[in-house]
Amino acid sequence: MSRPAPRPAPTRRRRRRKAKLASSAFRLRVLVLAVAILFSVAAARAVQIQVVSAEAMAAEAAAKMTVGRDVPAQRGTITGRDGQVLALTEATVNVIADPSMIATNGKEPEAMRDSDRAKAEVAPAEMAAIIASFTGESAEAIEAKLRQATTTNAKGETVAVKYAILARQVRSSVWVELNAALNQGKYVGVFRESNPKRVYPMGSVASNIVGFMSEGKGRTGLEAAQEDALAGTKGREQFETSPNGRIPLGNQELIPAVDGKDFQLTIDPDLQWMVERRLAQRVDEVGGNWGVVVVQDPENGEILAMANYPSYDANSPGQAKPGDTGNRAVTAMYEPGSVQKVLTLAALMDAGLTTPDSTYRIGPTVKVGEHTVSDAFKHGDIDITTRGILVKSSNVGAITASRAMKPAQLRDYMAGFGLGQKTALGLPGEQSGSLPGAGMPQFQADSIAFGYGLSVTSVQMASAVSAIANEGVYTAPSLIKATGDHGGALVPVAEPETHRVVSEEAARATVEMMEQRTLDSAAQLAIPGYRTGTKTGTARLQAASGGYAGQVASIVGVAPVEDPQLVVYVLIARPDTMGAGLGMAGPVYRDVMSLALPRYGVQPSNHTDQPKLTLIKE
Amino acid sequence: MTAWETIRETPRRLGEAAQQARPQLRAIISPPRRVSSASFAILVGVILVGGMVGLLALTTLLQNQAFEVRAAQRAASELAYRSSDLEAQVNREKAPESLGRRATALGMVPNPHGVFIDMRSGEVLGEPIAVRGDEMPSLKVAPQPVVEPAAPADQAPAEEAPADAATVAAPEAATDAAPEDATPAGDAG
Repeated sequence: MSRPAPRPAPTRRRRRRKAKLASSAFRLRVLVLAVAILFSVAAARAVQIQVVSAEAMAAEAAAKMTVGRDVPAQRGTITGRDGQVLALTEATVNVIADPSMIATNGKEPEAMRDSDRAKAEVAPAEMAAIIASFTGESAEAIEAKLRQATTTNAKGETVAVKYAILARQVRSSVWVELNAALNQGKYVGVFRESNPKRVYPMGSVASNIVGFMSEGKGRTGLEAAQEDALAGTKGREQFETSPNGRIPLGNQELIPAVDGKDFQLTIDPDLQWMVERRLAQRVDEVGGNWGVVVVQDPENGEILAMANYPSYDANSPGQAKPGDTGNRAVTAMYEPGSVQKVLTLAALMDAGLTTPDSTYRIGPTVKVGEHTVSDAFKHGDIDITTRGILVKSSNVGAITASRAMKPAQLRDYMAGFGLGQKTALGLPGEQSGSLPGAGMPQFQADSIAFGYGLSVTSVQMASAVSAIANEGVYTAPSLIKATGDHGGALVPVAEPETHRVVSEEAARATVEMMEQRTLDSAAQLAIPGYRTGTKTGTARLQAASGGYAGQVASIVGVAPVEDPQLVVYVLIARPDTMGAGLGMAGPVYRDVMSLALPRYGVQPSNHTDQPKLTLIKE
Repeated sequence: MTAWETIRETPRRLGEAAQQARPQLRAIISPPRRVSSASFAILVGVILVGGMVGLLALTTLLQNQAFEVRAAQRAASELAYRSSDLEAQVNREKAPESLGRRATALGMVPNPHGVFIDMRSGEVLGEPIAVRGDEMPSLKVAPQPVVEPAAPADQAPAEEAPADAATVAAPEAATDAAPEDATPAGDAG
């Protein structure tokens, strides 16, 4: 046991206390204490961050570091049957600016030098001149946007302007050149953002089929009807960033976009253009309201051309008149008139109720219900052949001949020809037309026999006649030939539905009767070197408000007669009752068929000198 | 020998025995000197500096690669832009309207009376008819006013407006339209 140390004297104790403050041991204790406090605070904070509010803090940190953006899907392309592009998306860009960056010449405000201030002062004017020269925008307007580096927000605070659009949908090559020019002048603060533009290289060609887009969505035509397939599904990209940009090895997540489908149509763009121009010229010449031409391959139902007039330029749809952006070939319904007699007589021959040489004794008129129907050509009591009914377009004869068939059976034939049923081309607004029910009274069947009492669309009518041209087999019309992933291989769509309507013999006999119609007006309808069959028609046009408003003049033609390869159907609507199918629509038919036959390699007929056969027996 | 002597002599004997069995002494290597504090500090410093330099080099490498990737991506996107633009130009140029305009400018006229030649026999199939040039005035396209290539507005060419008015000259229209209009409308249905 050591003895306790003697108490030091007071004076000595003071000296010792001073010495204790300076002692390293004491200072070490203080330091250890300070460090302990510091670490305790840090540990407490760590516990708070890591344990108490760990998830919220981690989420906040991740949110601050992670940047996400949509990955746009490429919209599908629409092409013609030969691959020519009808609609595609061009990689155009918006030219955008960060005016606050230009105002500091890309530096932090406090780091700006005099040279930076001088550059920032003149840059907006110089940049505006360059940008204007490339984009065609007003230099003054651009300069004003570039100089507006600050603005006042809703709270009345002054905030920096970091985004201004200088020009929209500038062609990508223009941007590349503009960017090079800006880089050469060492200007900062102008960028680009992707803003693809839907372009239609052929302008108005097939615009009523293809349609147009507005505000990123298809509004009419296939662009609207196939919107989901064309648009695809956008993707999403997320990545971590630091102030220096993307962190190279940071977390990244990419959900790739699924591009839209490409569509290849059955349309032949070159023929479509020729048909459109020919139709436009004719409709204007005759003072028509509108017109439609359908060119169809009867063997497979493919529509080669579907022209509308008036039409519009899909690149500037705003200039189109309301009503002209649709497709009247599938939306306009009308009574088919005398072209219907082709179907009626084919049905009668198939049913064995008549032959081309069968003769009917008819008077100048026939009673249909409470109405009296007459013919366009004046005659007394005559003996007219079935062929004559078609060639002379005898309403009285058609009614008389058709009364041998029950209304329900006639209706079945017409339904077999596709009348009264909506076509499935994939276009918006396709109409089914109307076909009376099987229990219709006789007067209604009489009306159908010569083209009244039912309504059709142009595509329906062309397809019905195509069935006769195709040896009696109806093939549903089609407009979409193939589809596939964007930029990939195209896969043909399913074969259209087909069924026999009339026998091969009845169909062939009908086409040969149509040839007699051509021979009867050879000067207007004959095509040198080819045997062709035609049938004209004229019918009053029903007004939307009821009653009649003008008329439609039409003509359908098949060629060559010995093995029909093409069907051309022309329809012109006009506000009055002037003219008829031959005079109004005939020239368009003849020119279109003349162009189309050699275009598709249809060789001239061997025996074009066909005799005229008996129409009316004296 | 007494017990005491035995006890006293035993160590000596044991020592002698041990001495006889003991191997020769050999020099051994002395353990290394402890590293001094200063050396250790230098070592740690070197490792630290080396590590930092290595990290800096790695970071710089990664950044450079990131810059290269970004530059390559930018170049790729600009080339894609260029490609898209050229593709669009080709599509515009080969559109039927454009080809029709060029054909018209070259003095070409549409021929609605096509015939075929059998290459084996040289036989002409069809009826050759000389083209007057006015058969289809609608297919003649008037030249279009030149549009500034840089302006985006030229993507919407005003195609139709001037064409017909300029091309469909009066005599051409008359030859096509007159006979048709004169035809009696005798087929009314």
